[in-house]
Amino acid sequence: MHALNRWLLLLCFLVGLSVVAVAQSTTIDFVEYELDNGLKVILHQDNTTPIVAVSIMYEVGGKDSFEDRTGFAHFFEHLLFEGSENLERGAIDDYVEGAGGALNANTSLDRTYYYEILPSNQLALGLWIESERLLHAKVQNVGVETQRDVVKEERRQRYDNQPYGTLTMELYKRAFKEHPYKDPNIGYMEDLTSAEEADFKRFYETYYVPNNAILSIAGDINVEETKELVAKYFADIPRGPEPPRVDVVEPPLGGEIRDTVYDQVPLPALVMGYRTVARSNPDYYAISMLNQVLSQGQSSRLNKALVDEKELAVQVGSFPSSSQDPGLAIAYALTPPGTEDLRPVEEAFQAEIERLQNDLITDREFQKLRNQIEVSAISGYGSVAGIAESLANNEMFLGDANLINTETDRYLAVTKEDIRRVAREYYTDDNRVLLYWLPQPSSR
Amino acid sequence: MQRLYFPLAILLLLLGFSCGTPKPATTGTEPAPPPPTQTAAPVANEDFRATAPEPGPAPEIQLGDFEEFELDNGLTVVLVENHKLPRVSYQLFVDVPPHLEGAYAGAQQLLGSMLRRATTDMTKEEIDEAVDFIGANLSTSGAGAYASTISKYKEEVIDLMSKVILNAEFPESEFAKVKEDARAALAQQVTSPDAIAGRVSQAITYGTNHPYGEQMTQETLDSIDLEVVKSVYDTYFVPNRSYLVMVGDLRPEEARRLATEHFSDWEERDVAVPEFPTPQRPDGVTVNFVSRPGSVQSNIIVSHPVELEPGTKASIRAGLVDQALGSGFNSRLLSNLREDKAYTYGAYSSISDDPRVGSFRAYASVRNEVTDSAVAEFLYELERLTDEPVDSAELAVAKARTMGSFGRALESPQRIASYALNTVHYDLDRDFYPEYLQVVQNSSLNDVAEVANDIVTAGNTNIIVVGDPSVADKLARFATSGTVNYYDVNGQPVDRTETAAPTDLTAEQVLNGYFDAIGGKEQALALENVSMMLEGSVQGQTLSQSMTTTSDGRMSSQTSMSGMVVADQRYAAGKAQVKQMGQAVELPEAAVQALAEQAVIFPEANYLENLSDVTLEGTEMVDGKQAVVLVVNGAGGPVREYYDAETMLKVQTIRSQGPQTLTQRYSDYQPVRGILFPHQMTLTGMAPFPIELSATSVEVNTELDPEIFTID
Repeated sequence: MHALNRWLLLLCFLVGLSVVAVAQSTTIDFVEYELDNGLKVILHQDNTTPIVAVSIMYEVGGKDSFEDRTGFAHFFEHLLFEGSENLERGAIDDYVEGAGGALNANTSLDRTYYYEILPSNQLALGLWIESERLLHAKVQNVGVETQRDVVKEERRQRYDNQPYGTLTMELYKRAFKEHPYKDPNIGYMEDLTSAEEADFKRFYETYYVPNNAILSIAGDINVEETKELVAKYFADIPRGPEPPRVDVVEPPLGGEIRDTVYDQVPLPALVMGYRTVARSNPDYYAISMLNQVLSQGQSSRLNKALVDEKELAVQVGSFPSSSQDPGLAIAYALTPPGTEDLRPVEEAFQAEIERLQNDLITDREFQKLRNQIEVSAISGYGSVAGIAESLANNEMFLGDANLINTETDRYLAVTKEDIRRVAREYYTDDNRVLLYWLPQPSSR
Repeated sequence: MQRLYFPLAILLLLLGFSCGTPKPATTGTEPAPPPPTQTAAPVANEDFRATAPEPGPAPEIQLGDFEEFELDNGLTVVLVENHKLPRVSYQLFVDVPPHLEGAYAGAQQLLGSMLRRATTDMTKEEIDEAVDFIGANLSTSGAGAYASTISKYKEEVIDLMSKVILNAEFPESEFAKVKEDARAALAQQVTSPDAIAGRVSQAITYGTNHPYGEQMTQETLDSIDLEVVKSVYDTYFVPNRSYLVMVGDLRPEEARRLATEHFSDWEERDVAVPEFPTPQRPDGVTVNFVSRPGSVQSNIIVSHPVELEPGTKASIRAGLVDQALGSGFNSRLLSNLREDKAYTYGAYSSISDDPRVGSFRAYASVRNEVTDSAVAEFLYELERLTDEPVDSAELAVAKARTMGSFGRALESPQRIASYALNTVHYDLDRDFYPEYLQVVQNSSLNDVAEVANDIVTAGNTNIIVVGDPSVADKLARFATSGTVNYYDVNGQPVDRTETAAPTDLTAEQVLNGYFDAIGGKEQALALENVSMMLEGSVQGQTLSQSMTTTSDGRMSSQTSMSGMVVADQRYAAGKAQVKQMGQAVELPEAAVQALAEQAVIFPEANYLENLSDVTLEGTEMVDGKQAVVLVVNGAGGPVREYYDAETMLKVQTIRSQGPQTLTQRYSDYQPVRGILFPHQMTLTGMAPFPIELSATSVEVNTELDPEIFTID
């Protein structure tokens, strides 16, 4: 697997170079190498601002939880701020903030990402902390018990107590029956309650190994000096066994799933999730552009038809799935308060889908998409932290960090026919979960 | 009167038309195999790992400068050059002086939404297309506009931006849409606990008679018409109180040309600036509660107004106090409420400066059970700031964080632009931001303690909590007055007596009142049987139901879709039977109980016999009219019955069935043999859309076919 990736990487580099030579947009230069223990390292030097982003991305996420331990990867992310052999509980925050840095982490269904943004003279501090985290993190019982409750509060605050907060959970639990994407990334409350110390040890030893991580550094650095520091802190961390991967292939949905969800919301909503492709699938680009046609900007089709012309909705949105395994492309329409019947909005949405399936988009729309893609490529270069994360993401999930420079070409290769084809292939009734999201009738 | 009851069978059936009911998900995750035991490989050269590495020499933080010039009409233009990326942004900030909008609260906000919807020569559709086609962004607000683009369209975008501001048109058709959107957005806001907490804390901190405390409500929104919106535009949108901030890939001469070409025609006009008394802190501690039934967390905000001028040393030091109290992971609030007590995902503070009046806030969302404990910890931490002032270690971290944040800001031209705008808008010393870090560095423990004592006053503050009503009573002990004040989502005081149970009514009186209203208890209870035929339409098909109930506890109901019987339910002599499409359905005990409860003509008769199961809960609005609510705890779970407070006719029943809440509304009461029966019913919660049913016939005391009660 690794060998194949490397080979692909080379090929893309060549392609990338030739394109970059003619494109006028900014290029992100970087060096990439691998330590003997399997840790991949990506360095991007930009000395404009005296700051540096030190980040490490582990290929473990919500989908890699053990049975009956949903939400484990995220829970674990919280615990990895507790300390290590050489860092007391709370010391990570103290060191980074005391150095004038910012730090945080986040966990998706596919990966866990830790970062520090530091004044550039503190580069070594970031490397020290991340090496401690990888080499010998220490999780004490007091930390487990505290973070267990903190994560439960996070769940309440971000999902349970928010209008529409459980939208993706409700879609994914219906759309997937086999694949772990069926479970919420934050975890079920009962699983958060029952997670125990042995789980943490097992999880740490399985996934927190250098050969499962990418160290991505961007900012005011000197590449050679940074290489030396990286070697000092990371080279002697032992390689671990290859982590297991989720290889569950979710069978086709096999027919539309319709349901109703009641929530403390004032605006009834139509919510849909279409089973689509993995981020690495070539169809991703056409699906992404199809979603642009539907909902990017106020002149997009759903905005124009559902909001401005028919006034059936007050807000619409749609986006592709960009997960490692095939996920759900989501579309939604929030209707005006007091809307009692969602069928007209569903019909209007369906009409827009059918229009994409039957007719090619216009030349002007096509040009608009391409213009928008050009803009978003440039805006992706805004911050060193964003660049560090993009480089790591591209390497981890697409096998090519350089896509930060070249992925635009993949979008620009999409044809109008491709967009119509993916509309026909993926946006079918049989392939979707459709929810009517209704206000809970007042029961005091 | 008869309750119509669609059993669960129908519900499943209706949903079943268009979908397979989702099966419960099965766990199919491959459990990760246990990893092979890993020998702790000896790691050489451990020593360097034991301590933090020494930092290199600190880099110099050099804040970029900006250009500033003024057009003849008084428009101030600020340019922050940055050529790193080929992109440009424009912000037009119209400094509308804070003023009371009164009955039209929200008018300025509506103006913001109207601005992008027509110019003298473009429709909204044309504006949208022009912006989207080049991948640009253009948004408007009650305080101006913001646009961004890649460099090659910088001319087009400033042209569009100036047109939506200078050549604004206000068509009625667009205004109707804007109002509809605002109505939806407001409805949305007042269900979000965060948004409610924000609204109410503003109202309480500044008072609703101050512009900062005023809130748009559905009522003020209704009263705003297009003329009101236009007058906001005519009165306040003037160049001589506005700032055009240009950021990015632009040269000074080019910026000057663009600003002059596109904004010189804007006509200067005087604007009156009203004065308001400065909002004051409360005499003691007030506790203010907004009820949000069903909340699983309480949103707590501790807040009071502060006098803190932007551009002063005090405002810089207030930033240090805020860092130490509630900004970093190891700040006092986070350490206590999150890392020690685990009450919350995050507890923070914020201190805002403002030339008129600023504010202090501390806030967190906590689980219901610890609401009062969390408030106690907040007050403890605010008091502690006086008793145990920020110490030197805390101050060092606060300073480092402030300087670090400045360093990171250098990367963002927008942050630099906001510093530039503050400098010209608040008329600060041009060196204020460049010398900011020096002031930070030179701030002593004493300086910081002084500011903290001035700003953070635990004994004079407002506690605002949005949450489930069950958590409110425990908060009274924090109030100087010993009582909790209740507010609605608009920050208006709520008189709790209004929703409390009417003191002059009992459940028995309500039930008797109901019988009187439908034609007399004696007459009603004399009926032997009632047969109703109902008709409605579901997804284009005709739905009809016949429903018979008797005074001796039997019922029979047949539901047909397009002439075919899809459900048949019966209850007689203690037995129940439900068939779907001719197939018998196995019934759990609860369903049998529920059917038994339906086998009665007027359930109120049973309620009267079991008054201990009936509570008068209070009053509530149903369809704009006040209704008295009875809660009946029957074998099938609690049922809420609503009776019109004036007529005493039953208007609504709400019952829970598993995860579903079913609501039945009754209207169009018509007499049948002297007794009033509703002839119009609406069922919600049963299908994804309301089902409306009309009675085509209601007959009483007819000769019944005994077959309809036969149970196999």
